[in-house]
Amino acid sequence: MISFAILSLVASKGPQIHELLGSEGSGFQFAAVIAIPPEMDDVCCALQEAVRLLPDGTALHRRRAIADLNNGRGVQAWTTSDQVIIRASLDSGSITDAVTLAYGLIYRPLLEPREEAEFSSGWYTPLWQRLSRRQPSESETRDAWRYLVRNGKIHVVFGGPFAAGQSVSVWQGLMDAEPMTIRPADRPRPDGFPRFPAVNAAWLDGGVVAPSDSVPAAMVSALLLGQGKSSVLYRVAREEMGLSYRQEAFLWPRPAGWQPRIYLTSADPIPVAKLEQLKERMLAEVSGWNASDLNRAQQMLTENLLRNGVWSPWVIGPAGGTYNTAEDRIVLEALSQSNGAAYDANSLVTRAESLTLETVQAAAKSWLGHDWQVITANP
Amino acid sequence: MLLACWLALAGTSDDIPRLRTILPNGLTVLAERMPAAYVSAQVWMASTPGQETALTHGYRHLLEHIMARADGGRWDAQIEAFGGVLEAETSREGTSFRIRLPKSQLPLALNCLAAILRERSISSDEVKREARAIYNEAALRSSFTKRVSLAWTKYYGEQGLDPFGDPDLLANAAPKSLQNMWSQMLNPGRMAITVVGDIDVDAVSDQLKRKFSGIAGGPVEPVKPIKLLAATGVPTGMWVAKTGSPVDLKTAAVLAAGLAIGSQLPDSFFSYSPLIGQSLVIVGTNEDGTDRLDLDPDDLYELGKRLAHRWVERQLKDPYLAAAFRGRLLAQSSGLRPEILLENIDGLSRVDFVTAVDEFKGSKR
Repeated sequence: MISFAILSLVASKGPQIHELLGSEGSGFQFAAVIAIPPEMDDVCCALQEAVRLLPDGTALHRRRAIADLNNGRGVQAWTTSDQVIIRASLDSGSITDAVTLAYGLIYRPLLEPREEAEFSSGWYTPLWQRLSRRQPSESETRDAWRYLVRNGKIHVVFGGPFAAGQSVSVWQGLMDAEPMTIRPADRPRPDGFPRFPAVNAAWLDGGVVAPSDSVPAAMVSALLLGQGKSSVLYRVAREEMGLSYRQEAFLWPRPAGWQPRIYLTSADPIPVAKLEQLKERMLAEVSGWNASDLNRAQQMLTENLLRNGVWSPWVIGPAGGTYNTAEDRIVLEALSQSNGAAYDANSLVTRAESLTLETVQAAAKSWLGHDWQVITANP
Repeated sequence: MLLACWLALAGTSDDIPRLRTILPNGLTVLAERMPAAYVSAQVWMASTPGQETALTHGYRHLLEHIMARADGGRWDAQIEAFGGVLEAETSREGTSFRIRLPKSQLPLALNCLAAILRERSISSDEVKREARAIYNEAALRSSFTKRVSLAWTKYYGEQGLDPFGDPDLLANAAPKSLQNMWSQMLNPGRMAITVVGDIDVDAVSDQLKRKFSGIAGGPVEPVKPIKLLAATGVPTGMWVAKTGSPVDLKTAAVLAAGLAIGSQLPDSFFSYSPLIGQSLVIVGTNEDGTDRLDLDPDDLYELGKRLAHRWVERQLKDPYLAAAFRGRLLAQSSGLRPEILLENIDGLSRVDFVTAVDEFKGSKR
């Protein structure tokens, strides 16, 4: 699909709009990434509630109208550690519909209150849900969204078969016709009580890798450490130590780049002593990697980024990793643009293929030099 | 005698080269050519031989774990070396092993499937290890999966048991009982092997015939319809309607109605197990406290047809999904074709659609 990408700044106070022009099918996609300001770190419930209600749409595009445009797939919205991501694909309609919907979701979402949500349980839940047991009021929810949009850095990417500059022009037209009237909002009040997930989890975060650094080395080490049954985590954490059922290593989106993350879950609480033992075993495994291990990870990466293989080096939200589809590429483009660089799968693969074993081992060892964090289910 | 037939029908838009063959031992094999960079090879074993009871609840799931580790689990490493994957799953329709690999590696995929199907002795250590894995797996099950399971037991009692199984029971499963179950599952008359990708269908059909003709056939009992209980108390936020076989007209109506309803619900889920006997379509929302279904069936008719058509079509346009959808149907009956479901959806009447929506609404009464 990707022909070229252009970057356009719409207005001094508006988001950055990017276009991915191409013709994979006849549909239009968009993804928006909104940075959550640090002062909202302790605001879980109101922000989570706003994100939950966002797929209800806007006054112009309610849930039913969106279902008609995209065959029932709706709008998806979720939070990572410090970003809100919104995504939708339209099978019918025009680029104007896509831009109008994205604009409305960001600046004029309905956010009408509904019944309290049951928090879903599952593998990635502790990673993406901002957990709190308090139900926010309608005004708290609206204020949290307002505060986020007003303060956050926003990147929006539109993709599909349209002329260069068209999405920017429609967006500008919407801004001119209905100037943003977002009033300043006070910092939303903190929650106080965290809600704990239904599963025991442990993770180990490495230092954030900026786009200018060696992201390919981090990707390859993630695949070797924790993707597939050949991975170190599967063989050691699950098979040898019986610590977990599911265990992965991946890159996790952060505003400054990609954070290497090891993540495992268990039905029983995970003893910290065993995790230290696991780390020692993993370091020994890393030292024993050879050329065929490196080749396997390079092959996995190529299949995932350029064809449609399942082994994703990153996790971007509740659905987990990415495939080489228009819907996933547009989110990767939005995340990459928010980090200050375009997403270029070919370049990542080429750079990964030229890595030496020593470079990948060094990346993995640096990652494993950090400490574990453990959460216990429903303590 | 070897039975083979081209499933592509002259005069329809379904002109994809696809060959279904029924081997002398009763095994159905299907090869389909589809332009793609990868190929998918899958084996499907229907759930009907060796029906589980409360005493063997989850044995098929436990066996799936054990079978997937053929030859000490070395196949995973070989497949992953090419960026591919071996996945295994136990569902209401059956147990499946599904491989996707670059198309040049099809022989590796077929060797792996043959190794998985080869019976071997089961040790009590293996049982303990995999039962422990299932205990951990249980903690990660999504809330919607658990709610869907609850609806099945309300409608079908013990015959609606969740194939996931009971981890406590599995921890004490006897290797001999599991071995018996394995032999029952390995019934070629209730199995299918499907290969979809950019392949030569004749050559691949020949390979499948050579590789899998040796599986010994056993008696094939007709599928008995499961007995419906007087279901009451469908959990909050869920609506249920019954279907017949995937090729029944009613199934098309219920699928379209369920998908249309789901598209109007926040944070919705949808579940359908295409069983040859009776089955359920379950649609719901993860929102607590919702039992209202304020919608106009007439208004949703076109949308429902479109969503159902698209859903089935999507299952047939990707090698992995197509091999899975056809495999899960062919293992139950070698005559089941998703194209008939698609035709039924396209010809669905407004009256049948509205009736199906009403059945969902009625499940709350």
